[in-house]
Amino acid sequence: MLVTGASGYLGRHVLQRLRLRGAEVAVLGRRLPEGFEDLELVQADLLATQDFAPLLKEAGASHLLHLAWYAEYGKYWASPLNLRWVDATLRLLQAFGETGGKHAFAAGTCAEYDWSYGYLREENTPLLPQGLYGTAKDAARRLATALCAAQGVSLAWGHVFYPFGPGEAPKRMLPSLIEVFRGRAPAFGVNTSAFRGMLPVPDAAEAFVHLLAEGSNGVSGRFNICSGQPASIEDVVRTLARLCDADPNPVLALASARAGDPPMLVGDNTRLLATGWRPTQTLAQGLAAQVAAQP
Amino acid sequence: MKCRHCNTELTLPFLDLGSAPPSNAYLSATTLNAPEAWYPLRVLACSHCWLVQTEDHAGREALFTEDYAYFSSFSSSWLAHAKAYVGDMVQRFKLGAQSHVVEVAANDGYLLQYVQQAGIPCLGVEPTASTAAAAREKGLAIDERFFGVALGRELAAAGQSADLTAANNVLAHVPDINDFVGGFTALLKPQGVATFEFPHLMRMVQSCQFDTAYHEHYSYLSLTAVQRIFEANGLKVFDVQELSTHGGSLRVFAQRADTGGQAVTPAVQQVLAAEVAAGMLTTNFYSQFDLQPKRIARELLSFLIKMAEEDGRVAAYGAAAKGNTLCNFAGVRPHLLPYVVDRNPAKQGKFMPGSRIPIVDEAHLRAHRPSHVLILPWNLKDEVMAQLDYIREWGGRFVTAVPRLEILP
Ligand SMILES: [Zn+2]
Repeated sequence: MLVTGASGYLGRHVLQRLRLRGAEVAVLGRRLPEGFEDLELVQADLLATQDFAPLLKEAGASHLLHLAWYAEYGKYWASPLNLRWVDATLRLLQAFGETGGKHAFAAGTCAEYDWSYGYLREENTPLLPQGLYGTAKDAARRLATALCAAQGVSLAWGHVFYPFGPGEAPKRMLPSLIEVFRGRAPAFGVNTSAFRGMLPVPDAAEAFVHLLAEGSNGVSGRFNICSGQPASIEDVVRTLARLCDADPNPVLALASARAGDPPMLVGDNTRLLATGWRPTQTLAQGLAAQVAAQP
Repeated sequence: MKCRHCNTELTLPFLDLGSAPPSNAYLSATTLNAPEAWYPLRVLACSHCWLVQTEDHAGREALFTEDYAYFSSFSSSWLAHAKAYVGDMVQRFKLGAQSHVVEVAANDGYLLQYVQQAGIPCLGVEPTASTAAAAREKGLAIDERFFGVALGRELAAAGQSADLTAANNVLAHVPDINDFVGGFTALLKPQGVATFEFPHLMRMVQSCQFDTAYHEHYSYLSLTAVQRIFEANGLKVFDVQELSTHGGSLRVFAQRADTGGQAVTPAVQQVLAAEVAAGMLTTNFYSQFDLQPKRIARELLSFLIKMAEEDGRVAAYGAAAKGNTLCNFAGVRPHLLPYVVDRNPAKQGKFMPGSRIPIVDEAHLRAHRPSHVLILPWNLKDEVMAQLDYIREWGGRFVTAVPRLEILP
């Protein structure tokens, strides 16, 4: 099994899940992430590689888990780098098919959907990509779907919602809130009346691995990677405050909704559940793990 | 039993009212001497799609052989509601002489009469013969069959495709909700709009309205469940309005998922979020509700017993399904509640099913001068109080039992 984006937030959790499964893993990328130095590295700069075929031939993997993409907080949404990742993704998948690859999983986003629907469902909710990021992911998915079909590669695509947990970028909402509740940062407002489809990151990582492994049982297509149970942002704030022994009120008092911020952004996970995947953590357990892991 | 929408095994109890006779099976002086059939009345929630639904039981078909005793046009506030609806839709969707409107469950034409008056071609679907006849007397075209995918397709093929379909207080009353909803997908023009009104399950639970449960009421609906059911059958929800009718209803606007052109309004997400905030995606929301009818029954019985012991003279108003559910579940009988007043001449002289409380005309109130009038249809409370205001002449007071026993000022 070959993994890209292994040094990223999701990638490190995926490697942990693969290690638990005892899977034979190689990493395609510039380096091995800390703690996984024992893995095989197929060294490449994905954006700079013109022909992946020799590298993939060397790795000889039947399964590809493609997570790599530009994800720098605050910049990824509108960055032109999104376009280069569409290109890299397609060249990678093309070479994977040409060198005998069988099953691929690639990480997409909930930003491929029309957000006005509240509950986002694979079969029914229209796709209306948000931002350059969502548009690039949407385009990559459409092209990759056609490419993989032509090459006889099964492709599972994950619409990833909000995978939260240990290792999240420090500027994102939850790590920032933990800093506030530990008295290290001033309180800031969040949209407490909103609901989001959040999922503890170990369960999200397990979903990727599970979908890829189920490829040989005919599992392919689009899957929402989320809990299916809307998480109230107010609940999240209160829970984090309790876990830090802090008062949630300074944050709650600043509650605000940005214009255009949807009240509901929740995925239906019926399709994912139907493949046999099950979440192992509740929202509260996931938050507790995140607080415990944040130094 | 399996969920009528998603086929998941139903294990989550919502409401258990034991057993009850069919709510519209009013008794006459002769049938009073015959045995009366009672059927189980239990309601379950689907823990997958959250559709709340009445349990199936043997002999269910027998419930629907009776002629329909409810003629919509008897309620003046309901007529005003229908008229306002037609005005709103004509304006919002720019309907005119070139448009076509279809109402499913057209009843006696209470709503389509306003469509007709606006000069818009229309068709009613109404399977009950007596009400269909009443609608035809208003000059309306009526198709007297049950609605579903087959009829929707047939009407579309016959050139009856709709720019607007209306379906008020019927979505909750159809056994095969998937087939019913699919019928609208088949019937709508590519850019057509379908509206549905139904009591909002969230309000039902928040206001303890357990007495809206009766056998013919198959489903209790949230927007969360409705959106899912619609999407599975080719319809997209694009707007929703909260109405005060029936203790809090939703009016849902939908269009064909493949061709509809209306933008989704923020109201959809707001109502969905309100439902999540109310706990409607948790099993507790459903499993806790059954405590409410027991409390309400105790409060009502305590009041009626106290009245009986203190020589109070209690009457009830409104011999509708809600009152039947309440009286039968609480075990109220004529010795505690001697009569029910109803304005509908078709019900006068008959008896409430199960409780066998006589139904009389309004003149009884002036003749008997009751000390308390229990308003059974709490959703029409204001209208009834205005209409019967004269009971105050002899010191009469109004009483409601839902959501709690209340003697009104
Ligand atoms: Zn269901």
